[in-house]
Amino acid sequence: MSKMAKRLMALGFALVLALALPLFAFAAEAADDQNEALQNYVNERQIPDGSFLYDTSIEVLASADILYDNTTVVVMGEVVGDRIAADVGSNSSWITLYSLHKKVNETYNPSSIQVYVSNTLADTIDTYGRYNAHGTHVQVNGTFHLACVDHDGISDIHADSLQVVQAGAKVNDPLILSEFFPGIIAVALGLLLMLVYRRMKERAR
Amino acid sequence: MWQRFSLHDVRVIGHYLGVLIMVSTAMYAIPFITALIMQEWEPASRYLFTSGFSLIVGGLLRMLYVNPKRLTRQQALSVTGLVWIILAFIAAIPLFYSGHYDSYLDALFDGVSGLTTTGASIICDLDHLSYADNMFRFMMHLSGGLGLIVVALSLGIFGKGGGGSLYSAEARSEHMVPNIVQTARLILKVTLLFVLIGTVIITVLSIFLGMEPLRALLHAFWLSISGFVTGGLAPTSESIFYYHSFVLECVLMLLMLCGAINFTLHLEVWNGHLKGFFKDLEIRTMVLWLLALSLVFAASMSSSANFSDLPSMMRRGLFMLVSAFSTTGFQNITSNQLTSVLTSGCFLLLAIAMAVGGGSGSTAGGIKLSRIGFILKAIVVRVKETLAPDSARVIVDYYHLGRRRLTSEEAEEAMTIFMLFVATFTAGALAGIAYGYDALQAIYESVCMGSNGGLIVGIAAPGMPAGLEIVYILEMWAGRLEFITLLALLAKIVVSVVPRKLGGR
Repeated sequence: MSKMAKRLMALGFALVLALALPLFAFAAEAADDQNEALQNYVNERQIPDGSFLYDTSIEVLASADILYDNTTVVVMGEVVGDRIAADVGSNSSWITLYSLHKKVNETYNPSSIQVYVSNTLADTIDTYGRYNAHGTHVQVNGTFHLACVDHDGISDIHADSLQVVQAGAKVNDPLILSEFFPGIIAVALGLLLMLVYRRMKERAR
Repeated sequence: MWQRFSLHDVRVIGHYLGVLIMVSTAMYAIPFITALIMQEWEPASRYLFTSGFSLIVGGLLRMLYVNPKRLTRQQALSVTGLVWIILAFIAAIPLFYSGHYDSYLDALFDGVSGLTTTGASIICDLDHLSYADNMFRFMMHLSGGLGLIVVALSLGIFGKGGGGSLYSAEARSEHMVPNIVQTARLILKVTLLFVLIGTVIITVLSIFLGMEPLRALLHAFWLSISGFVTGGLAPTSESIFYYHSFVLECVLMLLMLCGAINFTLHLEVWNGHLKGFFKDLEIRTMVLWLLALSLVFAASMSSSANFSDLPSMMRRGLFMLVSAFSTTGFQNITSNQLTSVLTSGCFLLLAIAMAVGGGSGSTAGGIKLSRIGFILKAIVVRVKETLAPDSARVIVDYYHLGRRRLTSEEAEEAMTIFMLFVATFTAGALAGIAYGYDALQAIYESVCMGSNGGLIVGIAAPGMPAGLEIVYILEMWAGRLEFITLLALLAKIVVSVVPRKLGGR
């Protein structure tokens, strides 16, 4: 075969290869598309199972309507008050979760919600919020019920998981004697007025 | 016709106001002691100051007149009308400085709500409130529920100075014994007995629920006070569903029902006159009324998807009905559930239950069962008179500590108070609507305030409009005094202030 013929054949082969490569790519993409299509196939007859996770807040749940009922939610809040046993000898407890935002403003309307947790999860809470303590901040993942059938219609979250986000802490209320001075003076004046009135009454007799 | 206040009247009224304000210093002393025991130093300083302030204000007012004579009826009406609002202004001071209120007006709202035993609270972050502040809220309930005049009478404060006039002016009608001071002391004893029994039972229950003993004791004490005086304030933001205890709810229902019964009937039961108790007009009206409410409530709820199963309906529905009927205000469902889960019929039933209220001569608010009974009997009289011959004389009896004849004055008084309540509910509802709230919720909230019911739906909340807040404060005040005292006081003030030429003579 002459050199020219060999060169022509090589050129033709290269051309065919160059043209064929995109075809492979398209084919791959088409395969991907087909796979993707299979993965994203929506079965319109599938019944919703509430598996969509709502990252929401206690304020929203406190004013929730039926749309949120039986949905899986994630909320964060401060544990306050007490741990209440669900029943005598039960393995579950009730905790109260309070908004992290304490004051009402245009954005926040602080609220609280009842959470039904297992004792194992509840044991991870180190501090319950009250006057002299900031409670443990936790993130709860669970099912929200607008009117829980298991608990005679109460609005609650059945916790599937509970994670401590921030440990609780004691709050100091130091004894500052100077803060008592206005009170001591006021009481002293009040008692003095009582004495003065008594003298006036005796003189009037 | 309209007599003005003279300088003498002002001095006498000032003196007795001063006496009552000084007596109320005990309301601040108890939280002060609580703060010292619990080592809550900031609240301790606040309540010490307020105690002193109360002594100073009371002491100065008392010196307006040394050794006054017996109070006239008009002076007594003025003292009773003014003391509630003046005490609320003083009570708002420690509340405001606790840092749990957005404004002094919010603190005043809670002060009025506490003293009038409405139980509607707009406090922020209640779960972080000190024990001392919580103790103060329930001391307000105890003082207001018993009646400030009753407390003073039982301590023998007034001597011969017209305690009887003050007692009547505070919308008190029962005379358990002929002596007014002994009556006041009996009321105090009955209340303390129920509170003691309730405290013991609820403490034991709370400890079983897992609460710490001290917290269990305090919560039990506060809930017992709130339940029996039909106040409605709770120590936590979740009201009664915080405790998740059906037994505790039953105990509270009993306390609320007992609180809504006339004190005289308590004495009847104590003396063994059970027949008289069950024959009483109010007891019979109460049973029939609660039965009717329950049936309609159950029928309405059964059409809803939620609370339609029997356990939920019995537990949540019955508790809310008893709380509304007794105008207590305890909730074992959330405020959100009031509108989103309860049917509109049930929602309205709760409002009607609060409007009608409990027994007269009890700690409950509302129009009162006896008045409803009188109005219904007056209707029976009218129908009988229409059907009877002209010469016939129609007489209707009722039973209350013996058989009594229904007089036209009693029927007229009942109808007058009924109309005044309806007018107040309407005015409050219109104010709520004017501020843009949903009409049904505005009507409901107005009924809550006027009947001192306290089962709020959420219009009364931190950040509510100041104008509406003032309307609700006036409603609570008027409802507690059952209008006549307040209207008489306002009329007297207007006549005294308006110059003679403008006023006619």
